Amino acid sequence: MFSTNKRANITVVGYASNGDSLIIKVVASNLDVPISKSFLSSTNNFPTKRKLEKLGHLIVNSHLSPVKLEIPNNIDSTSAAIIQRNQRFYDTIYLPKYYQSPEIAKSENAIKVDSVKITLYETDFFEEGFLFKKRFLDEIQAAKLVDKLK
Amino acid sequence: MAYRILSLVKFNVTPNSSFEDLILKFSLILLVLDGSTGWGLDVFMRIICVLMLAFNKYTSNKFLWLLIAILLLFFNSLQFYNIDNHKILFVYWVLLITVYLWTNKDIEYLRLNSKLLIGLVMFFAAFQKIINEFTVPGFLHGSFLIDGRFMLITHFITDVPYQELLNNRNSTATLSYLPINNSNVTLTSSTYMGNLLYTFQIFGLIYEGLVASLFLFSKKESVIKDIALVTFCVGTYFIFPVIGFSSILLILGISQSNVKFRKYYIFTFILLQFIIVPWQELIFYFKNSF
Repeated sequence: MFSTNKRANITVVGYASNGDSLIIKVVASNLDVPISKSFLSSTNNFPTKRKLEKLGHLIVNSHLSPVKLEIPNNIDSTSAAIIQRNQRFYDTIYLPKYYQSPEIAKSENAIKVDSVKITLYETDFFEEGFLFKKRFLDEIQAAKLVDKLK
Repeated sequence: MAYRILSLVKFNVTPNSSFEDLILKFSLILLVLDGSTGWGLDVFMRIICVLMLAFNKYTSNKFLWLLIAILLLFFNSLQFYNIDNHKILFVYWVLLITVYLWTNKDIEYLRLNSKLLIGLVMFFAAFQKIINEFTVPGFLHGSFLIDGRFMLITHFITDVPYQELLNNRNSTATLSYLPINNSNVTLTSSTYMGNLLYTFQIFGLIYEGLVASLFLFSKKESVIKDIALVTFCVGTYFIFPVIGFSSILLILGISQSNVKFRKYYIFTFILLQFIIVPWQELIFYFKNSF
């Protein structure tokens, strides 16, 4: 068991070909995009650039299915104001999902992105005010592998 | 077929004593039940350890123990930054058994080294907590609010409704997706809960230091150290259900203890298998269904 509440946190933003940006939810899954639980927890504990790039390439090569994002009402006022100003961006979160065919993906409004930006944060709990807070550490970009091969 | 394969590595050494047999069998049981860190290692562990348990003459086969040690070292080093820390303790313990079998040492070698291993584990557990700001409030309180395993205990101790504790968890999960630096959510809890858990936090740290001192500096026949370790295991692992860690500590306890106290370690080992029962959920269910 850990003796600290500090954890590495991976946040992913995708960039579509039409210039749109969107938030991507990275979760372990056996049946959808094969991001394994052990791989994800290994990036959470010790996020090497190589592992983060691998994660980025898994995401850019998969479809992303939209889900409504509920913003918690206990979020701080500065963040709430940022979310308010960019409501369209924060309204939906996209989940990497496997589809048997592009047609089925299209029917469920699933999209693909050209590149992703993975930002590494550190989260921690603070006794004063019972705050759960995230702090920026680093970021990396990952583009479609197929684009690199062209 | 399996018997034939094992016959090829028939470098059989009959266990020196029933005590040695007991230690080896408990260690093999632990490796079968909790030795794995992934399917790759799991397949080998299940085959090798189960066959060693099934056929007495292979229980203390030094070649098979060396093979287990190599497999554990190889697979665990692949996931060094990811695996639970007690899995690393398994490696030390298996290496110790392997050295013991290969060097034909006396059983006292295992007793002394397992006592030292418990002392060092407890010392480094306390040491790394001290250098990682464990002495300031917040660690246990944060864990009880964020970690789903403790949410029902938090609900039982405080008056915070279960739904609000669920909201705490959901809001931390949502925050983790948002690309906003310095964003935060305020969790619902109470000062009473914070103070209570901080007291436990400091008490736990002092107790770990005490167990470390007893195992590092007391005489090997001392039962005070054994009472301290058994109390630590029961007190800690019924709240933090890490069955692998409690099991390896108790096997190390069995290995270093005198004959009189050994039965209490074995009893505690059996008792602690009940930590996998979802007590919190059962209490919650009975409390809310009548």
